[in-house]
Amino acid sequence: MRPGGSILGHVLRHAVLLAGLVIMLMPFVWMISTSLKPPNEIFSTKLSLLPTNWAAVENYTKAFTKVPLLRYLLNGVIVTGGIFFLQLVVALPAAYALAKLRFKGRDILFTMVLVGLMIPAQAPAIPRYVMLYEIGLLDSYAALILPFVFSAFGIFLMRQFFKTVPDDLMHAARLDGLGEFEILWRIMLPLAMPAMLAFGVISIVTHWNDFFWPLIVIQTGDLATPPLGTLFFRNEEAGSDFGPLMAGTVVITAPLVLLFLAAQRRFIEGVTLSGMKG
Amino acid sequence: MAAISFENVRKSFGAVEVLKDVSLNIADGEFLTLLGPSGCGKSTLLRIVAGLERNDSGSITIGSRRVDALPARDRDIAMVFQSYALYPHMTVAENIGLPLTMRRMNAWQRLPGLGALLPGTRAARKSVDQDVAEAAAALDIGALLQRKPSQLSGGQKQRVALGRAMVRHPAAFLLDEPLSNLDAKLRVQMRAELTELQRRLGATMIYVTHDQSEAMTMSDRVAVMLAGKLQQVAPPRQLYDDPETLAVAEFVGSPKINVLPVEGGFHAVRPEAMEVVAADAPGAIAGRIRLVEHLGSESLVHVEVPDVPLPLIARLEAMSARDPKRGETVGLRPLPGRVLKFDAAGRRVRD
Repeated sequence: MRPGGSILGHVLRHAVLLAGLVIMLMPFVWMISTSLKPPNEIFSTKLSLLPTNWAAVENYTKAFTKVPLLRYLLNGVIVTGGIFFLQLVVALPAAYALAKLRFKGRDILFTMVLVGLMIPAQAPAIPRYVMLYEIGLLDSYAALILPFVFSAFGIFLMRQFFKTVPDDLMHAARLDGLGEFEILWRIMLPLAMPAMLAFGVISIVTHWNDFFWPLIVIQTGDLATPPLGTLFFRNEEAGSDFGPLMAGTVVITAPLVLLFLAAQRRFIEGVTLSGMKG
Repeated sequence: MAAISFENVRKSFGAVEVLKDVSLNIADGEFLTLLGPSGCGKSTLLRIVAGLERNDSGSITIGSRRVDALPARDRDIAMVFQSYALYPHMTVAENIGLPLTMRRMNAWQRLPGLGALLPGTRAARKSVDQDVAEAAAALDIGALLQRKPSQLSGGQKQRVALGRAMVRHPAAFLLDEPLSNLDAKLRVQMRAELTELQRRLGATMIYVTHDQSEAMTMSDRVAVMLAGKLQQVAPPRQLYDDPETLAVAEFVGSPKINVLPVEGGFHAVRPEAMEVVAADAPGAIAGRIRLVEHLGSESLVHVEVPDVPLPLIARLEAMSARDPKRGETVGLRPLPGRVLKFDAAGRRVRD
């Protein structure tokens, strides 16, 4: 709190922030509220957050039984986990090389990564679709995972982090008998934990929530990711039954919220690139 | 332990030539200091010996092996860095033990978890732990083994870095300004300890510093490097008393040597070889005292002399009968036989 700031200024600032909070949070509050209500109260003209007759048990039971919600969640875990793991396999060595090794063409390669950052995900969707069709991988986990394995953002983020690691640390490691991959594995990787966690949260949230790509490549209901699952849910099973639908979306959103809360502190460390202290 | 020699080593970064034809032989067990101002190329030379940089031409020999083409890990050399370069996520014991782990255990044995099940892992691990404990005891850091580097003071980090270097008994030690991050008192203490350690290990050491008091107090020989060239390699005493070039004479010694331009060259006189006499004494250079610094055991008298750009400095014993005052006009006279003569190019002229 600034000692010179007037009380009016404080009130005003907080009012603005509070308004923003309400706008951001209201849809979620409404989602949770709806997931607790029976159908007749959902469309009632009377505005109330808590239901008069609780329908939480029915709604959530329906969400899990009418559609294979657990299956969707499992798919989500497999796809986001697979993407993140393979992204690391590609991004860590690439970022290390771009940050710390001297070789011809490094700057051009890095520029290409930067260019890659600026291409929207939708732009290469059709060529990718055609490629997956040609190799017969449409409608599979591979179709959901492989296109995202090369992450320009991941390479960029990790490279920026590796840049902050002092060169002497690698020099010492080389004299201690470590090869480049061992330096990456034994020295860089443990140090890069906060950055990896930040990248993990961003990557997992992006791909967990991705609706566009699964919608294009997945036909089989059993391979649906959670957001795609809610689509099947509404169209085929639930009709206008919004209670169970909202219960389903609560279940789908919850893992992300929990993930962020668990990683919050280190996530912020990672994105601010607070760097290294000996 | 091994002798090290460089022959005609050259190195450029882009258009900048940092090492210009450096040749030097370092004896087995010698403590050699590379002394020079920052940017003179001394650290680059050290990194080339370590294998962290490649020389453009020339050769480097460690023991009987020519090592130019060998990667750092195969040169059997240990280095202590100015920043200590301890691995922040490892304990002191792991830091010191890493070079041994890398050499005594194969890739499978080093795997976390699985490695412990393989034959020989336990014995290897035990031998590493033993050597780490031994090195730690020698450096008096046995109680710190389970700490992380962030929990150590500067002096303790320094010892851990030394421990990591000495634990595998390398052919030679390279030290890159290892004391410059310590406070003044600790630096003096570590200076003595390092010298003592080097004698005890009988190790070949190349020590890089810009601090001449470190160079003078610790080394068997000092190699003065200026602008990428070795100027003179000599024992500390000789370097001070008998410099080969004016540049060395000026770089070594504090306060700086007095330089008098003369016909066809320069005369240089150390402050302690300057006598303060009456202004009209025979052979004296007259001038006005600009400043007198009292340092306890001695005083430094700064005298402004017409036609000489910098004030001349004379060092007076505190016990001296004279007590010159600021503003006084006095004479300065070099003691007989203590004038160093240089030609116009700064090369020493001997009679």
